Amino acid sequence: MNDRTQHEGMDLVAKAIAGWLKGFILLFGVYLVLHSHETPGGGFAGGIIIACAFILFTLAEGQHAGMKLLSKHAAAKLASVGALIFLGAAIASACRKGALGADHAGILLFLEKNAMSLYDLALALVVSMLIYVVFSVTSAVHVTVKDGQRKMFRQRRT
Amino acid sequence: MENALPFFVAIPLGAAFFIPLVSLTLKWVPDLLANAVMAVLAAMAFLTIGQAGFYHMGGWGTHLGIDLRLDGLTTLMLVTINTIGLAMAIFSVQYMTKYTSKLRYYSLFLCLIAGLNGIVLTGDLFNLYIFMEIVAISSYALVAFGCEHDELEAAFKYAVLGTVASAFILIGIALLYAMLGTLNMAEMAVKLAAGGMNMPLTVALGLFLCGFGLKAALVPFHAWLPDAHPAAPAPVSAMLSGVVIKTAGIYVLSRLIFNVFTVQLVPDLFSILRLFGVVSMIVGGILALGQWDMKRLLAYSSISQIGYIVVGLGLGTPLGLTGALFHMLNHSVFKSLLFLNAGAVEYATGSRDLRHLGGLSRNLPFTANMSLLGSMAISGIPPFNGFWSKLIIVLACIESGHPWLALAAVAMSLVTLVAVLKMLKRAFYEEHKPLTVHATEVPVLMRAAMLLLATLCVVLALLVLTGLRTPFLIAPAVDALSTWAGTAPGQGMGI
Repeated sequence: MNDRTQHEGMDLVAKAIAGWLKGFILLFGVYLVLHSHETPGGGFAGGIIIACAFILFTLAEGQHAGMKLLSKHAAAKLASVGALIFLGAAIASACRKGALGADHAGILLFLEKNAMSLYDLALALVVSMLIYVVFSVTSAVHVTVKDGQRKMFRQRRT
Repeated sequence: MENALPFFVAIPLGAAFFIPLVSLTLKWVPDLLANAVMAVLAAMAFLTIGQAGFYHMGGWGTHLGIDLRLDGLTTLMLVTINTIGLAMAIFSVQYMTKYTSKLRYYSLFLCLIAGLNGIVLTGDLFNLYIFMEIVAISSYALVAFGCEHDELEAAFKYAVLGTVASAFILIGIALLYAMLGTLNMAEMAVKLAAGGMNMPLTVALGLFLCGFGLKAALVPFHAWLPDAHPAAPAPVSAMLSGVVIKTAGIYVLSRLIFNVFTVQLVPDLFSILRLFGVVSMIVGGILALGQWDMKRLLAYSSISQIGYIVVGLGLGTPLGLTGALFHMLNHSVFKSLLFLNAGAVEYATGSRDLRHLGGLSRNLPFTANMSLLGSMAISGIPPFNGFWSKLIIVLACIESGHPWLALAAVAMSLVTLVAVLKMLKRAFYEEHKPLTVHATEVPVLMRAAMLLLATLCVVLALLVLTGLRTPFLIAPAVDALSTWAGTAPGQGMGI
């Protein structure tokens, strides 16, 4: 196990390039989210790209380094925060205008002058973190066949 | 009351996403929050009785936006979903300790509740599809919850067949939208009544029959159910068998058939439904006889009971609808109770194989009595609720001139009795087996959940005191099915 942890991930070239690239990819994702209201794509595309930065890092450096950077639990919590922002915005607009989601200008687009809506921020948070959680869960669990019975195993975090 | 409608979806969704935020540090949060949410929802559901109304999401009108719609049938479904859900939440507190992650379980469970409430509330066909996918995806994950060989296999099978059903339904919705230009179900009904049927609409109806038939596990489409329902943890099995197949299958099917495609348009539809129903009733009942896994036996019997409901719907008369909806309510109560009993037996002994069980009535007297009560209710022994709903269905069969259907219903009731008596005898009343000698009675909250459902089994029988043809809670639902969106109630509907 320890032997594997030290030599985890890809070789030096991949690690070096991924280390350089991840910042730029993250930056581009954040740029897309910040301009989400006025560009095609928006929160969803930005969220995917942010998730890609984390996934690239995890692929290059190995799972334990990736988990150290952003653990599954932290990512799941951030995704939950994103989902709760949606709900909060809906309920806040129900309080102001009487119906869920009715306060389009007031709550949902309160950052409209900055070209980003709360909606897109929440969407980016949910999408990026959920994609990362799905990636890390599916890569961390493997199914093995033992005595004709399939069983799921989880890798231990170090 | 209209302003409270979106909160049937918003409260469980909010709680589902709140639980992962805090529960890694505060272990008591999931139990408490899920039970509190379910108690609030159940109370809200009872407050909707006798109410009706609309809620326009975002303040947009019916033509532009999404409606939530409350009528008699919605009220009936809301009461069923949230009451059974409350019992399951109470049961889960102690039962789920044998699984590893309560946090994920309750999150998924609350998502399931949110989706179910959404299905029955929405008046928009595409939103209905989305809520149905929420239900489907959370139930795939819940079926796989044990992460063992059987669970994974069952969940995979369920996911594949569920996705096939969803694809059918989505194509059907697309066809309807292409032909009618609206997704609002009430507007669809008006346009259909004005324009009549044509080929694409008939194809859409066929796709809906297959898709929702798969969701409801009617017999040619039932292959996933006997694997998926036993594999899940007991409260989830109870939710799936008791509520999900009825909400995602029967409820939507009856809404579409009676409210959107009204009967005058498709006269042969009812004979198809009756055929599906009677085949499900017979095949499910007979297959249940041969099972040795307690939950699998109950799952097959669910198919049979769904057959009763569909036969009732297929009669198309008001009495038939009353019987079908009453049986839907009753079946969700006693089937949930029986699944909880199976879960309690598994909790106490570690097995639900009837060949390795026996004599449990001496170790688990409470569970044994609850099982006896649930079994009597499901096989239609008076005075329990199952007797009255089956009686209404049989009477409706005779009244509308289908004596053979009535005979089949009575005969399959006997077969159900044989199946559950086999379960009772093997599990509770024979000699002790090595596995069952040291079993002890299950914890108090699990017993409380069973007691709640058993009480309902007796109380629901009292509904017939308000009139065999117009039981309380059921009659408004029948009215909603016969007169929706201004369409006339079908007279002698295609019989």
